[in-house]
Amino acid sequence: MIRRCAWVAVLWLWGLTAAASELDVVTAQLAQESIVTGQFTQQRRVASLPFPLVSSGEFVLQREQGLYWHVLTPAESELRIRDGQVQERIGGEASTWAAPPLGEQGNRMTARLLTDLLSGRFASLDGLFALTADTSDDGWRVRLVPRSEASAAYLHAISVSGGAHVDRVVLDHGAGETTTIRLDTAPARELTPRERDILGPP
Amino acid sequence: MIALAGLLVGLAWINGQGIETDIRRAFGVTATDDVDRWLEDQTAASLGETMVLLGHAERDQLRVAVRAAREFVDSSEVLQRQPWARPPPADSLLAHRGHLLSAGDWQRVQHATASNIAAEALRRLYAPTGMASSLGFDADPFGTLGRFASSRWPDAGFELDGDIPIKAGQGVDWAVLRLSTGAQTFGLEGARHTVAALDALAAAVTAVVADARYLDLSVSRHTDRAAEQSKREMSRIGVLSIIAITLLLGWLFRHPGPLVLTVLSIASGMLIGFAAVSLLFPRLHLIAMVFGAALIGIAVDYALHLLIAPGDGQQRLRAVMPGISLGLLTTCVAFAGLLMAPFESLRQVAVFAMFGLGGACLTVFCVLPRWLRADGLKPREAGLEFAERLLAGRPKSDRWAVLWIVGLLGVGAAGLLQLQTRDDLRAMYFSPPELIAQARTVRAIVGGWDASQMLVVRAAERQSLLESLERLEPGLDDLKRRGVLRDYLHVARSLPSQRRQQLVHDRLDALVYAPGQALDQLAADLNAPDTWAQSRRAAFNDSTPLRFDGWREDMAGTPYPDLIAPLADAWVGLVRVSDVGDVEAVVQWAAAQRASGVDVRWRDTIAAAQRQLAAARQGAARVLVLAAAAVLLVLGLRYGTRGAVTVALPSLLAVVGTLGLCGWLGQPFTVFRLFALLLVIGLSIDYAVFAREAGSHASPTLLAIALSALTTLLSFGLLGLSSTPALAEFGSTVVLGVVIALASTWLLWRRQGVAA
Repeated sequence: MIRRCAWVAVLWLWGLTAAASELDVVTAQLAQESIVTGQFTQQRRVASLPFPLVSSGEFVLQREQGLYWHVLTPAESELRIRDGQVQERIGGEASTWAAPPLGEQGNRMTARLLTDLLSGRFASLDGLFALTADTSDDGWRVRLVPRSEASAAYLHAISVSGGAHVDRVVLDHGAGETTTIRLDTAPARELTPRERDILGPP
Repeated sequence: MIALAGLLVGLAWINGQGIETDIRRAFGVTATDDVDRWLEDQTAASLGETMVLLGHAERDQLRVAVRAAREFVDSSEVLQRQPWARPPPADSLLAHRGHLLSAGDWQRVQHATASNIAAEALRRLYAPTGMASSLGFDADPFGTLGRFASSRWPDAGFELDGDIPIKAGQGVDWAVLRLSTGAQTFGLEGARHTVAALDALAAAVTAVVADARYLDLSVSRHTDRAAEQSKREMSRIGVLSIIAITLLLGWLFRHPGPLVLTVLSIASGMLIGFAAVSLLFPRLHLIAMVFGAALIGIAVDYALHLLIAPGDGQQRLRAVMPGISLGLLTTCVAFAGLLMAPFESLRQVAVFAMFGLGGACLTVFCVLPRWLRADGLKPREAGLEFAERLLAGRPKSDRWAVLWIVGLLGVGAAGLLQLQTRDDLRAMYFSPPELIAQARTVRAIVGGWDASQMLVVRAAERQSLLESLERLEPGLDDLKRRGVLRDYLHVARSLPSQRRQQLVHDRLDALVYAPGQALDQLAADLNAPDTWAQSRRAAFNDSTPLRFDGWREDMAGTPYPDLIAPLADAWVGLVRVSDVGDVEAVVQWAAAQRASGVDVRWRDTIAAAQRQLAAARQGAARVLVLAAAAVLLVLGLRYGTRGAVTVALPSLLAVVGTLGLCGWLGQPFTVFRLFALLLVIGLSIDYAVFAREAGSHASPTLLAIALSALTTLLSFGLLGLSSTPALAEFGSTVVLGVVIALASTWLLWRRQGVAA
């Protein structure tokens, strides 16, 4: 009996270590450029609609500082995350940036979640989500399941996959609602003056 | 008489006559209205709550620490886990989807057009933040209900790691555990059990995660430490003073008899005083009993004068009777003035002191002389020689006395100008700095609403109260924007008035759900099938208003139900606030709101209690001045004007000098110093009267006075060393007052006696 318990304990510890080491492998695979730019396509499925809702645009990710998400079709809108806060702008340069109606806590959480997910900074999400990772020759996949019921009301699970960069994020909202974001990363480049202005210090 | 008093006290004990231990009530600090009583009930309910914070830089280790803590609490008989207050899931609001909008959305729909609303919903659907409604797009296509649900809850900055609320602070993550103590743990014994359980909890956590940080915030910890400290001090000071007094009297009389007889007179006084109070008052104030008992200390004079006087019992009695009688009369006249005091505890002190001193005096007159023989229980010659030398050493010229009087009055008057008052009942309790610092750290990390500062809104009906709260909303937001306060919370944020809900429904109907409006426009933009808009319109039309009972059921376990209550003639709602930086700005804003018809008032329960206490102190001080005038009148009848002034001078000098020195030393005048001054006045009048009545017994009288002063200093004066502010104030005031009174009596001594 004692021997069986010992084996269970060893296997459990091995499982923990394996999960941790898989996550380390994922982190090791991710490129460490401080700026990642590219195009995205977002596909949202809603249970009551027989077709997906597709939008696309461009993005700029500053790993440690923020995100600029520019939806170009079907309706233009801009979103930026800087200083841990989400802001939106509709109507281009002529308009002003404003916080979306997420509430202070919702805003902070959304900012953290988006930047951490797209940067592949999974370890920092460990407090909010239970993480499982697996790797293969094609790349890696990390599954995040909310630890609290309150978070699960918004998100049932998140699946992120990629190689040197995050390529795909699938958000399962529950009740048949999902959002799939595909990211096509462009070759590394510097920020344009406009992007620097948008993401620069407040 | 002593037997009768004993019988009365016994009866009071058997009948379970109530003892009021709440110190606020003793000083007339009571709930002035039903809102106060409601708030007091809430405070009382929160006293059994304990907040425990576990901190660690690594999340895994923190989870292990929390697990260990929860296992310990689950097996504890004293501590119980309380759920972390959080809003119920938004799903319960779906039935009311057409009637609820957050304050922000309500403002937006005032000016928005149907096409704005449709475009915004479409854009949100394509934006990555579109996931921010917990109800999903199908149930809440415009996100309004999700935003209402989340706006109900104040942002306290917590994140939930599973079911563990966590907040960052001081470079680590803190997990918060809300605990309560069982009903059997009230009182000092309960506090001791709670503290032991919390200490064991801390040990259980650090046994598992050695470098986990542990903090707790519990009233029990403060109560326990204060009680422990007081008990330790009282026993230390008590033992010290008993030993010193025993040695003093033992050395002087070489016999234990005087000590026994002195204790007998004081004990009989206390018994009779207690009997009188229990007969005249339905409920006894503990603090009145304590201070009343202290005043009986004056009775030690009577016994000492009799013991030191020469001759047998009857001769001694004849020698001291006039002095004791006049001393008792003047003290009783002074305390009789306190019968007009504005609060019951002071009236009880007066009754206790008058009857107690009367009883002690009767014991000295009727009982003690039977044990005294001419050749027995005499003081040492050395004592009398010392008194002789003291009298001989008194300055012969009156100049010194005048200099003392003028100097002391001058210094005292100048000090009085600098004297500050302090009316804070918290001085009654000793809280060590490390506990206060820990409480501050916990508050800084956890945050939360101010417990003593709030806005109180009144209205005739429940609905009109909710409407009043809604009218305050823009102003409160403005105060928040200006940084006057950090955040606020009231009921209408989660339960809009029926009127507001109807307006919301009408506005949504016109702007969103009517044919051709936002819903249809969104459906067209999405190319959604016809049934999509129809089913959402049907759900909107089926919506019913959120009612009070359903809301209360939903919100059980959250802070909301405690924010509204029906009182005798009105409904009252609280606006809880946090971090109010500019109270005056809020008070002025509330006044402006009242002028515009909303009955809202700023309430600071601590400040209100301090105001009441200040009024009580001022009232008592006024009564004391009147009593002093009455005493002067009595002395005038006996000694004439000049003689009365001379006898009253030591008391005046003691009061002015003591308060003046407090002013110079930056020590505040408090209600506890006021009580101490009562004792000083009683003693100093006795000193002067005995000195005046000494006649040919000057040396024994001075010896008795010096001995009385010494025993007072050894008993009450030692309290000045206490770390409990109230006791220290009492003790230091007695020391200063008695020393000044003794020095003044000595300087103003008249050998000639009354006849002169």
